[in-house]
Order: sequence, then C-alpha cells, then structure tokens
Amino acid sequence: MSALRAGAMSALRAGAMKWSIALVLVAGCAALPEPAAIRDARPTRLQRGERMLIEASSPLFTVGAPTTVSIDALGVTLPARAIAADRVVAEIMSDRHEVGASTVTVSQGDKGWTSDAHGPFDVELCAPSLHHLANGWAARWPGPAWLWWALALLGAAALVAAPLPVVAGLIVVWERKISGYMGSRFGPNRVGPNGWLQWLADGLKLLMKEDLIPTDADARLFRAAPYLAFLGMFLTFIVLPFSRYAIVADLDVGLLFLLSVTSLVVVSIIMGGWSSNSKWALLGGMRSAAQIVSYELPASVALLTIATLTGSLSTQRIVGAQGGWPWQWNLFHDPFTFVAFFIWFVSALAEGNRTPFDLPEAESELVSGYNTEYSGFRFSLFPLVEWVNIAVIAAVGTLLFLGGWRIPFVDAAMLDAHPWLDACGFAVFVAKDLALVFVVIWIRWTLPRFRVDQMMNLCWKYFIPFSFVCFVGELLWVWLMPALAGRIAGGAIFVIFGVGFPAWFFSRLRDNARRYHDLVQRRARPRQPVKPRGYFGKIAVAARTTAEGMAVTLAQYFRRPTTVQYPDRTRVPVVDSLPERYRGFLEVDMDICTACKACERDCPINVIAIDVEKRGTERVMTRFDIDMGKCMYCGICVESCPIPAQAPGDVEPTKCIRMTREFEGATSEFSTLTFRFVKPDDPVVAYKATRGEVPPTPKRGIIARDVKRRAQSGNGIAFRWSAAQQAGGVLAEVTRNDSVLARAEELATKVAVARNEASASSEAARNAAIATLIVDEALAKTDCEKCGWPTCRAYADAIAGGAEHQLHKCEPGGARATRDLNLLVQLRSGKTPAEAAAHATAATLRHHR
Amino acid sequence: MTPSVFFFYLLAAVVVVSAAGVALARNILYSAFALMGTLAGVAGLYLYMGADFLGVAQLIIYIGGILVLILFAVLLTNRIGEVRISNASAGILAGAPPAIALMALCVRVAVRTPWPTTEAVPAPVTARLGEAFLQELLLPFELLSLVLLMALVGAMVIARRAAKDKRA
Repeated sequence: MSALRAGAMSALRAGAMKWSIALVLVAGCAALPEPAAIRDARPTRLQRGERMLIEASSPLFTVGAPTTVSIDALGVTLPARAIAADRVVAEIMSDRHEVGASTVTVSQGDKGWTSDAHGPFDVELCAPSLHHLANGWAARWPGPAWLWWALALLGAAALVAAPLPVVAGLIVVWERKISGYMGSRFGPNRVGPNGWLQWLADGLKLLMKEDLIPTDADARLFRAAPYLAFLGMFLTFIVLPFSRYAIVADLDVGLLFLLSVTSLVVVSIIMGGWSSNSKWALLGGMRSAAQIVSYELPASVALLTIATLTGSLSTQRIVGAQGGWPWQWNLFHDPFTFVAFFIWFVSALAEGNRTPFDLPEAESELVSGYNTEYSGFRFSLFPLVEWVNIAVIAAVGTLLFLGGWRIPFVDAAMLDAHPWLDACGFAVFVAKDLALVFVVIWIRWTLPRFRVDQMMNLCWKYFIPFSFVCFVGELLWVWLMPALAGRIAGGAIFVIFGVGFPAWFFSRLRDNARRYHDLVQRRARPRQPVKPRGYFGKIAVAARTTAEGMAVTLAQYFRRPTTVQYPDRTRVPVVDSLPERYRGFLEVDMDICTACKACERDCPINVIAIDVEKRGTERVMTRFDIDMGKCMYCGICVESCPIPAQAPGDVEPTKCIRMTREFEGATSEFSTLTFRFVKPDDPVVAYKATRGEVPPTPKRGIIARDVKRRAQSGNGIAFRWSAAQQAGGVLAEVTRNDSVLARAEELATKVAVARNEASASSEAARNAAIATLIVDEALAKTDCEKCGWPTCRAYADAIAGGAEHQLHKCEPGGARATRDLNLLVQLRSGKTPAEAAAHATAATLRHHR
Repeated sequence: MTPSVFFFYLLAAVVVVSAAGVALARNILYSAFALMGTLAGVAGLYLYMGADFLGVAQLIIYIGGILVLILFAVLLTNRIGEVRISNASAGILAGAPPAIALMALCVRVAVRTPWPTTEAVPAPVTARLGEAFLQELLLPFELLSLVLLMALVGAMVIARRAAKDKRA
C-alpha cells in the first residue's frame, strides 16, 4: 500500500515538475523577438534583365497601349507592357535601381496611376536568379539577344549540372562511411585521402564496364529509361534556392514544379523494370510505382500546408517568409506545419525508395529490383539519381521547413548592402542540407525494411488522414489564429520539440554511448514491451521506438570501430592476432631440409617442385618451388614432413615445411606467387638429420616474408635456369673481393687452430690436420676420382704433403673448391689473409674463367 | 523563323509524332510510353504560351498520375507481349470514317474560331487561378470535386465487393 502511494506521489511530482517547466518555457518564448521584421526577403534592388510586375486591384489598363512605369524616388522611367487589364510588366534595362521605398506611377497616354499606401496596385519584383542574370548579360552583348540568352542559360545549366555526379559520389562515400561507423567499421578508407575518392574509382569502374542489354529485353525502352530518371531528378535543381542569387529560376509554381518533374522518375522506373524482361526488375518497378504514387499524396498535401501558410508556391518566397533563427522556421510555426514536416519527410523517403522503404530494390528478395539487368554507365545513372535524390529531399526539406538560406541577424537590406553575405547564405543552406542528408542515411542504418502491407498501411491509414488534418488545420490557423496566440503556440512547439526533444535525445544518446555494459546487464531483465493501444497509441509507440533506435545507432556511430580488416589500423600486428592454427603461406627452412621430397610427393595438386642432384656423395637441391597461387592450404605437406623443428615463440614444435601466418599476397602478376626457396646460383646441400633431434628454426614467417619479397622483385627476370649463367654466377660469387677476404679470414683461424692442436706432434701429424681441414672445408666429398686420386682424403693428403700442386682438380666443388684450396695452402705457408685472398682469386679466375 | 516560332513547331512536332506513335504502335505498352511524349509536349505548349500553372499541372496529373495508372493497367494485363492481343486494329474500313469526320470537325473548329491573339508574357497566374476558382467559378469547381468524390467512393465499393467475393 505504501509502495503504491510512493509511486503515485513520484508520478505526481514528476508531472507537476514537467508542467511547471513547460509553463516557464512557454512564458519565456512569448518574449522571443518579433520575427516579422525580417520576414520578407524580397530584394529592394533591381538588376538588368529583371522584371517588375505591377498588379492592380481593378482593371485599369488598356492592353497593347504604349505604357511606361516610373519609379518616382529615382526619377527613372521604364518602358512597360500591359499584359492584362490589371497587370503591367516593366523590364529593367539599365544596370541597377534601388527601389526600396518609392511610389510607382504607371502611365498610358494621358492617363496615369500612382501607387500609395492603399493601392491601387501591388508592386512586385521578380526575385533575382541565374535566369535573370542571363537575361541581363544577353541584353548587353551585340547580336541576337536570344542566342546570348540561350548560351548564358546553357552555362548556368552546366554550372548546376556539373556538381551533380560529385555530390552523388560524395554522398555515396559519406553514406558508406556512416554505415561503416554505425556498424563499428571504418567504411571506405583506401582510395584517396581516407577513402574520399572511392566514388571516382567506382565511377571509373562502372564506365569501363560493358553496356549489357539482355537478349530478350526491349532494347529501345531499356536504353531510354535511365536517362529519363536522370532528367526528372536533374530538373528539380532549377527551382532549388541555394542562396538568394544562386537559383536558376524562381518559378512562380516552384513547389508544383518539384512535384511534377519527379514524376518522370516513376515512369522511368516502370520503363526500366518492364523493358528488362526480368521478373525481379518487373516486380521492383511495379512496387516502386505503387509506392511512389501512394506516397505522392501525403507528400503533396503536406507541401500544401506550407503553400497555404506562405500564400505562394515560389521557393524563394517560402524561404523569404521564414527567418534565420530556428523559431522563425516553418517547422516550428504551428503544430500543423510541425506534423506536416514529418509526414512530408517520411513520404519523401518512400518516394525516393530509401530504407525503410527500399522495397523496390529489396536485395534479399528482388536481387536489385528494377535495375537488376542494368550494367555499366546505364546502371550507374540509377544510383546517381538515387543519391542526388537524397540531396534533393534534404534541400526541399531545408527550404520549406528549416528556413532555407536565411541567416540570423541578416535581412533583405543587409543582403543588398553586402553581397558577400550571399555566400554565407549558401553555406547555411548547404549545412542544413547536409544535416538532413545525414538524417536520411542515419535512418537507413536504424530501421529495417517495411513489408509491403505495412508500407501501404502507413501511407493510407496514417499519413493521408494526418496530412488532410494538417492542411485543414493550417487553413483555420492562418484564418482564425490571433497573431500573439499563434506566436506563443509556435514558441511552445519550438521549446518542446526544438529544445526539449534534443535534450531528451542527447541523454538517451549518452546513455547508449557511455553505459553500454550497464544496458546489456539491464537487458537481462527487459522491460515488458509496451503494447500499443489504439490508433494514437500505435503512433506514439512508433515515434518513441524509432527515436530510441536512432539513439542506439548514433551512439554506435561515435564508438571506436573494432576491426581486423585493416592491418594498418590495429595496435597488435594482424599476424600476431591470428589463431595458432591459421594457415597462411607455406615456408621451408632450407637449413634443415633433408630433400626427402615427401612434401612434393604428398601434395595432392602438385604445388611443390623439388629438384635434387647428386653432387658427389652429397645430395643438393637446385630447386625448391612452391606455387602459392595454386596452393589450397590443405597442410598435407606439413603432415608428411619428417623433420620437426622448434621455432621461437611456438608452443609446439613445427616442421621444416610449415604454415605461416602471412596472408598479404596481393600482386599484379601470377608468377610472383611462386616462392623459390633455393636461390638461383646457390644450390642447397641437403641436411643430415639425426633421429630424435629437434633442430631450432627461425621464427615462423621470416623466411616466407623474405622469399615473397624476392619472388615479387625478381621471379620473372632473375630465374633463368641456364647452365652458363649458373656457372658465371658461381664464379662471380666466389671471386668477389669481400667474400674471398671473408673466407680467407675464416679459414685463417681454422688453420691456426689445426696447427696448435698438432703443434706438439710431428710434421706428419700437422699435415694430417691440414688434410682434414681441406676435406671438410674445400672439397665436395664425393670421392668421384675426377682429380685422379682415389678418394677426397687422398687428394687432400697429397696437397698437404706437397705431392700435389694442382689445386683446381675438384670438379664437383668447382670454382668454390679451387678458391678454398688455394686459400688453405697459402695460409698454411704463412701468408696473411689479404695476400692469400689475392692469390686465390687470381688462381680461381685462371682455371675457371 | 524566330527562335520562339521554332520552339513552337518543335513542341508541336513532339506532340504530333508521339500521338502518331500512340495510334500506330503495335504494342500497347509502346502506345502508353508514346502517350508520355504527347502529354509532355502539350505541357510544353502550355508553358510556351505562358500558362505556367497549367503546364506544370499537366505534368503532375497526366504523367505522374494518369500515365502511371495506364501503365499499371497495361502491365497487369496478361500477354501484353503479343501484338495480336495488345493493339488490335479494326481495319481501315471501320476506322477511316470516324477518323475523317473527327478530323474535319477539328479543322473546322480551328479555322472558324476567332482566336484571341494576345502577346504571351510569362507572368504568374497561379494566384489569379485560385481566386477565380473560389469566386466566379466556385460552382463548377465544387461540382467537379463532387464528381471526383463519387469516382473515389465508386472505386472503393467495387474493390470491396471484389474482395468479399474472393473471401466467400
């Protein structure tokens, strides 16, 4: 009972607190600055080529009669035309007129009418736009004006069109980055600075691809469809006001124009879907069309709300009617515009086939929907349209609901005085646009795709009734609401949703970001999901869960990506983070390889090739190749290798041939994936293993890395296995100055050791010691009798005893044996290593050149 | 020929050629897509003559609405690939008399009507249209919306009956 009372009390207290906060906030916003002062952004200055429209409240003028308009304050008289009984248009033919505050007189023959505070006519100036600038330029140049006008328009069109692919491309990269971070990944980060040039690479790739047209497709329509989609999306840019001057044409029917040209996209999607002659494409096309046609309704009616509020369809006028501060935006004007924004925004997502309304593409059901059969450039146009569309959605949202390019503190007169402020306006517009683009992408990575019936229900049962309510409500609001009450209500909406909601959202965000683990634990006892009750209950639950979900994804966005995909971005080298049994490239420790060829024999796909030659008694490997390009990493070679070996850092012994953890094998040429463990001119003597011994071996991966480097630098050129080069190579190697000298110094110590050991005994003993040294160090130990002596030992004894002076007779040992024999003999006779080296080099070259 | 006249003929050519496409295409889907050219060309003519609202409304209603509806109907039809079924021709004998009669009527109207010739100045008309609809043309405006409402309700009645039949 007491618990119940405590619960009731806390609920009461919370309720009272919320009420008092709300009351204070409402009272506060009543004191917000008067917005009407900077409501109108119409220019007060006229440029050449612009028009002045004078609309009388009653039919005064004679159509066709010569007419003039004079701006009294300036003393300027302009030629004009009466286009109707109540309308006169004056063309501005000189450079600049300031008409900030002036009466205007219209004269026809001897009749004249002068404007005053109460009429008889409204003077309306056409807003400046690129179109009017073009008009102005055309009037200055000699020759036919229409030609210059057309050229100027073409230039303006190019200015607007050229950034489109760039915009789409950057949005693509941005989207992929956002999606990456929201999934704890990095997104594209390889092409260009931090991956920002990925779109260029993708675009180039798409351009290079073959333009495939399916055999059974309707080729003509198939080819035409992407261009139509592009046209529809491109035309919307005519009426988007990026700043006061940066608009191609401020059409009086701007909003309707936006709605009408995007309908071309529907037709193109149906066209592409049908002409592909593929069931996926057709289904995607039909879905898309059904979706767009349905959602056009709530979107248009929501836009009507704004048209009603502003009393105009011109995009510049709608922007002009708003202010620079958030509480002056249409979004917070009244409850109906606020709801209309969300209706319009979600409907625009649906019209643009964006997630959660990407049913027409639905890759898990329809492959790729209407563009399934497209490839190459034609395909690239569809995604281009899709991503440009995101920017357009955001731009329309900005101009209708978020104040467009209006800058706080800046009114029309200031804009006239400081043209550079226009650049600020542009920046403001772009910033708002990008923010909305971010939201569009953010939604994509928060919400799953709707089912078709859910999508249709949302449209017909929720959005359409609500949009009608908004429209009618807005009419009543504009008609009946007293100005002060309207401002208070608007201020309250701004405080609740423009300040309160972001604050709540930020707390949810922080909760998600910081206390992730708490949340996980809390989820062990999940709250019962709220069962939506009734029509409005469903709406409330949908709004709340969507906001919660968006807080989760955004919190994820700020978390550090965890990934093993990028070796350059991890603290621990990837090689060390791989599991113990990871199978990377093969490597062979040639120092302990017995040339048993077990691996070659057991490889199921003949990846390993080993050549063994018998050189005297020794078996020598002249080739040990592993074709890693072919290897399937089965590891049978490792199983069959009889030589265990212990590598530092390994828990268990590995084998002479073993798997490493190397994985980075990207190469431009297939032949460089053949790893050659025997260097071209350096055959390797087989190791003689003893039973039970586990020889040490280098850390796994060092050999593989080395051999891979060699393979990538010189496989194609260096490995010409011709005998001549092999011989020449050996000769060059054994007579190289530094290597001969090093060998001489090495042998000098051994000679000294042998002498010392035998010093106490006889001359014969000393000769025997030298002979042993000669056999071990210089001869091939083959006992081949090529030298004329029965065994290698006999040859050595003969040299040591002075019976043999020919030091180049060891054929299997070749130039190497000759050099070492010479060195030993010279050192034994007391020469310094340098002298011995010089002699040995000369002798070797003499005999083996 | 001034550029203005040139553009007029260009737009007229688009309208006439695509209208011919509608009539002559052997595949009904081609007819439907050709209709888009006709409708867009007419919208262009409206814009050319300074009726901005009319032109844009033509685009929205006819291309965004009616044409898509036609395309839907066509795509939901079976065997549209077959020329025999899709665009059946009744033959020249049956088609020529009404065509010639209609043409004669059109030409007569075009020639005999005293068309008002005023200079077309692209000046905004939307606000004036709105005022006209809510003042002198209020009755026809309301009557039209009644007709539309009847169409809506009728469509719903038919659709619901079909759904009920299916369930039964």
